[in-house]
This record gives sequence, C-alpha cells and structure tokens, in this order.
Amino acid sequence: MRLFISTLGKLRSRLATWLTLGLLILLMALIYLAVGATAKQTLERPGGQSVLLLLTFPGAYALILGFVLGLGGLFVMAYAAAIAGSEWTWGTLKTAVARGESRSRYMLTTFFGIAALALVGLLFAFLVGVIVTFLAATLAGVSTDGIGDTSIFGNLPEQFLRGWFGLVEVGAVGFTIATLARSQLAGVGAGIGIYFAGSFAGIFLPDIVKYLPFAAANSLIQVNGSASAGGGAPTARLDPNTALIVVLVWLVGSLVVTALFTERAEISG
Amino acid sequence: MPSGVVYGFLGPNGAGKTTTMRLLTGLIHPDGGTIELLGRPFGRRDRRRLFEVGALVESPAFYPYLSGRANLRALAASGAPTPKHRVEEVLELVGLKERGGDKVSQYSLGMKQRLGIAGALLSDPKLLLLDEPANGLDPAGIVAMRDTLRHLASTGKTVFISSHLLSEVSQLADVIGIIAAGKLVREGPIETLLSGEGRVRVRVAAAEVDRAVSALAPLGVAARVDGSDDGRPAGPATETGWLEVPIEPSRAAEVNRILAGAGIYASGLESGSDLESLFLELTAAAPPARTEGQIQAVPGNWQ
Repeated sequence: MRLFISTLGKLRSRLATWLTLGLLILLMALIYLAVGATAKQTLERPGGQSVLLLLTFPGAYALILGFVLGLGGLFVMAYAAAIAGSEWTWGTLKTAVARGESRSRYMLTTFFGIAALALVGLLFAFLVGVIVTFLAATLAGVSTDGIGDTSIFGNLPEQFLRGWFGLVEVGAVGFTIATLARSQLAGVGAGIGIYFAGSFAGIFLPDIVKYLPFAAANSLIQVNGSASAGGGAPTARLDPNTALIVVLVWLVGSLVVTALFTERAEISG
Repeated sequence: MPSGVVYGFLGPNGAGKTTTMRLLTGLIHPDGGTIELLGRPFGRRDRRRLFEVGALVESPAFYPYLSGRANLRALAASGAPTPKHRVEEVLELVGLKERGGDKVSQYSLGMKQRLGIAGALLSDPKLLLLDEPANGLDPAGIVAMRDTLRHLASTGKTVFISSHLLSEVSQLADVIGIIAAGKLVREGPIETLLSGEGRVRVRVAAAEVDRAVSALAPLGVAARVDGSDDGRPAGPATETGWLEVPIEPSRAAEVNRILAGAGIYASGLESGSDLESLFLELTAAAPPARTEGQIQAVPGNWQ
C-alpha cells in the first residue's frame, strides 16, 4: 500500500498528468463551444439538426461520456506509455530493484496508480463536459430542460465503469508497449500509431479491427447506436458484453506481458 | 569480503566492475556460476536480501520533477521498510538538508551523486555498494564522503566502492580487489598488496646522476633515472636529475644517507607506494573478456 500511495503522489506531482487532463478538457470545451456558437448556421444546412443532439440533454450525457472515452483513450494510452517508459529511461526502476523491490510489483503498482488517476480524470472531465455542454446549449438556444432527467442516471454508473474499464485497457496496452521498448517516446509513438492505424484499418478490415484495443474499448458503452470518438469510427462494433471479454483479455494479457518482461529484463543505465 | 572494511574494487574500463555491481544488486542475472551475498547464496528469488544492501549503481537515478526529499520518500516506499525520519537523517548526512526541497533537475552532478549516496543509505544497510561514488564531487565533497564511508566502516558496515580513481581508493580502502577482463586478478589488504610496490624518488644535480646510481647500488636494487626505461640517463629526466629507487618508502632516509656519504646532496626526496604501477602491471597483461557477465575469481590471492 505504501508503494501505491507513493505512486499516486509521484503521478500527482508530474506535469504530464495535468497536461493530459488539461488538453482533453480544452479540446472538449473548444469543440462543444464551437458547436454551440455555430449552431444557427449549422441548422440551415441539410442534416444540421442532428448536430444539436450533442447539446440536447439527457442524450448529451452519453455523448459526453463517449467523447471523453474516445479522445481520453488516446490520451491515457500516451500517458501510460510515458510513465512506463520513464521508469526505464530515468533509471528509477533500477534504483527500486536495487533496493530489493519486486520488479513486477513495482511496475504493476505504477499501472494501478495510472488506472486510479484515469478514474478521477474521467469523472472530472465528464463534469466539465456537462458544464460546457450546458453553456454551449444555452449559446445555441437549445433547451436544457432534460438536464434533470433522472432516467438516464440509472444507466450512467454502469456506463461509467465500462468506460473506465476501456480506458484502463488502452492504458495497459500503451504501458506494455513502452515497457517492451523501455522508452517513453517509443511507447507514446506506438500508442498514437495504433490509434490512427486502427481508425484507418477499420474502413477495410472492420471484422478484425473491432477486436483491437481501441475499437473493443469503444464498444463497451452504448452511445445512441453510434460509435464514440475513440479509434475513429469503426464500421463494425462488438456487442457490449462481448467487448467486455475482449477488453479483459487485452488488459490481462498486457499486464502479464509487462510483468513477465520486467521480471526477466536485464536492467542497466 | 570481511565485514567492517572499505573494499576498493578497481579495474580498467570494460573489466566488469559495473557488471559485478549489477549482478550483486539483482539488476542482471548470471549465465552460470553462483553469487553469494552477505554470506548466503543470492539468486532471482532472494531479492529481500537486498533490504540489507544499499547501492548506487552507475549514475544516480531520480525523478527530475520531484525534489530531493520527495525522491528519497518515493524510494523509501519501495524495498526495505524505512522509518520516515530516516529521509531527513540521510539528507543531513550528505549535506543536502538545506537543498532537499529543490527539484532534482536543478541539482548539479555532485549534488545528484550525494543524493544517490543518501538513497543507498536509506535502509541503514549492512553492505554499501557504490559505483564511482566520487563522480562529480568537489574536493570538499570527496573529503566529506571519505569521512562518511570510513565512519560507516568503523560501525561494522562493509563499504564496497568501485572506482578508477586510484589515489582515492588508496586513501580510502582497507582491502583492494583488482579486476581485469572479467577476472579478479589480485585481492587483499592494501598494505600487503603494495608491500612490494614502494618507491623512493630522489633528486640530485644532473651532472651527478651516474655517480648517484653507482652509490645506491649497495641497496640491492637498481636505481633508475626517473622517466627512462632502461635505467640509463636519457632525455629530460637527466636534466632534472630525478632518480627512482624501488624500495620501501620507510627507507627514504637510508637513500639520503648513502648519497650524502658519497658527497651527493639531494635537493628533493619523495616516497610512496605505487598502486598505479601495480594496477597497470596486473591489468595490462589480462586477456580480453570473453563475454560480459563472466566474472571469475582467481583463487589463492586473498590473504
């Protein structure tokens, strides 16, 4: 437990933590406010009405969650890769191992710290998303009466947990890549590469891509029948329960690979 | 290694010093053979043995965005359980208490080195393994480190330092091990190893060098003109008049007396034991290492 608490303290003090969350919130705020500010012109175009669904409560709740999970997935993957890679490049894993710390316990605890922060970040980003959507809806002249519709809240905690599970899974994949590469940059680069390659390949190989980390994570939650932003817009989606199993396999598989590699690695530098 | 000593681990670049340190701290594992640490076999499953070992292997490693104090606290959360007050104690010990709140990214190399030593001391270890501990330290820092390590050895702890600074090791170590190409080629108490490595240097007038060499013949050893290979007066050494006599430093007065008896008066006299000569002699002839990670002790050298 002391290692976990220490890990949380280290992550909290790290600029990358706040930068990742800040960037996600900034992008979300810019997009939603832009939609709100240009709503009148958008409505004049064919199909423009559907854009306003983004700003209409209670349906907006799920869309905010989908947005946070989609873009957040990419951010969490890059963030987890940066944290794992820095343990190798800065030599801090070496120092802990030389003190008799268990290699796999150290790395897995670091990952669990990231997972805990991802939950806090998800909640915070969602709350900010609700506020921004409310402002954007007001700007667009869309009714916000549905914001108090409690029927949506019954389903929201489950969607939240599923979404968090998806974030943790893509984070684990990024964490593992950086561990195997022993590098922050390689991990972040590979994570971003997987994200965009998955989006692109989804057009041609939807039945394969839907099993890949981002697509499976996105399939965990139902967003009014459409895909969330993560991994682009895969043309095929797993049903949420199958996605749960696929995500679990990716998550456990990634962590096992991380643990085994770290245990067997020769540490230098 | 006996306990309660400072052990100097010497070797040229690539000899296997750092590889040995990595093996002893479980960072890498041997392809073959066995390791004993603190008197017991040390393998992959014996990481808890390192709770009694403090180590600084290669360069000190810290989170650059955290303060020195926060780094030590983070380190204390891993491995051996460490009391909270210990962080302040070791900061004080290495002279970083005042700067403990500064970020490590603002530290000089010497300060990082001191923080690394503080990290190694966190768990109050029985055995301290330090790789090039004087790296980046200023003269005052080196003296302070030397005092600290000597003090630790006097309290029964064993201090193992690897270094390429021969003068530093000769001032600090009680026991020396010299490694070359993956083999331990000499090991023992420093006085014993250097007993045949003493020398006295004496300076006479350049014109009297030949006569001085003849006068010193009764010592039983050949006095050499300092700087020449064959003992014959040659080059600038002849002009400076320095002679080197390979005898115990304690016999410097005898050299002076013989010269004075022959009517030759020394204008300079130095004496000392030459660790450098021993080091070069032992490491120059060593064959190249076969593969990294193969350390072979040569039996029979320990006294």
